[in-house]
Amino acid sequence: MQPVLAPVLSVPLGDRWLIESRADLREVYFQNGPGGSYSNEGFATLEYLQLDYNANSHLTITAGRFLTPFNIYNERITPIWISKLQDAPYVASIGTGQGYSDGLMLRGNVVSTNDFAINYEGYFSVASTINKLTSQRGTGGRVSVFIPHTRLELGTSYRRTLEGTRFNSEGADLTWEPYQAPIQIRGEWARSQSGFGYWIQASYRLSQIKGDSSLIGRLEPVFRMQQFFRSEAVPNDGLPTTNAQQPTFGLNYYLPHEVRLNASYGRQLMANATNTNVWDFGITYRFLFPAWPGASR
Amino acid sequence: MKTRWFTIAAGGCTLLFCTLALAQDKQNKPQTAQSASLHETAPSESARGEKLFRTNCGRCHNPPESISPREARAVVRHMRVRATLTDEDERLILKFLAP
Repeated sequence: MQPVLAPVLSVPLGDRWLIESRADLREVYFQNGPGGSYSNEGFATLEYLQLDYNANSHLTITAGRFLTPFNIYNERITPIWISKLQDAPYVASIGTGQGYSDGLMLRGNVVSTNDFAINYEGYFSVASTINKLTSQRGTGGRVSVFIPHTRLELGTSYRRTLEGTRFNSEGADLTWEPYQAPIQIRGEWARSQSGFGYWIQASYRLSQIKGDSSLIGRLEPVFRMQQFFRSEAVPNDGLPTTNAQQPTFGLNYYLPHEVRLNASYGRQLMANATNTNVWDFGITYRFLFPAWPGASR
Repeated sequence: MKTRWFTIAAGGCTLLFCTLALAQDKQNKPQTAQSASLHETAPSESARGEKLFRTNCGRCHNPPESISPREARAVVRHMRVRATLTDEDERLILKFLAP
């Protein structure tokens, strides 16, 4: 069991500046072996603390600690109130340098028309061993094309890790949300020296049946398939030690007042290892409040 | 063999989702078409902002159920960075969230 508190701070300063931060505070309760007693341990992670300057529509400069922009999972889907399945996909650790970067990032919109938009993110991260602010030295970025008429986004990512054994990571991602239906398809492919893998996820909110506030319309089935193929043993890379694959079925139920229930079942199939069932049950609650008095606009 | 089986299962489930969703869409077509034409004929700034919200921010999450103008300003500034919104997108989405 893991109660998690994920506070997000957002402080706009004037018309161009923004300070934003997110932390992950969790207490993990676990059993010491079958039939053993229970213990607990707390973890606190500063996920990002960044200063953004919106120079114009084409350029935003970010300095500080930020989520590494590689594919879509790390930047967009990690918040517990967004992710439709609580477990991260296998390849989530490829190309992200432990998920966080300390340094400088440039991002923006190259071109934006009614038919398409091209966006970019590029960054450089220094090596840091400071407690709660660890990061790897590296550089990389992502370029994506978004087609508003079909709500289709395709992206490609690259990272060069510049400490220890230097290596490249490459990735590609897809997001598709057709206007015709509340269906969402997301997927990623990624490779590094450790191996390669992919995940693809489909979710369908049943809101077309009797509206999104009906009993059935609040339900959202989710299916994700993922595989990872190990090519080289690399310690502490956050990836399965052998070839692995896992289909996962989940159900989300959206209650009023930003409360969501979710449950999922997955079957982890490992080459040369014991296969296991993966069950997850969760409840998330999202709320907003002003941190201090200020102008109404 | 297992790999092939699961790849086929993944593809099958994805197709099933799409089929179900699009089949439902046909049943609801008059309502969808009506709302679409409404937006096409009279796209107020708020309506344009709503469309931009659903196109950009809605790719990852649902809109908040309620939000004050002060909260909206902070949220939209965050989304501008995360979703690489333009100046105009930011202004219109703010119109939608805090009219």
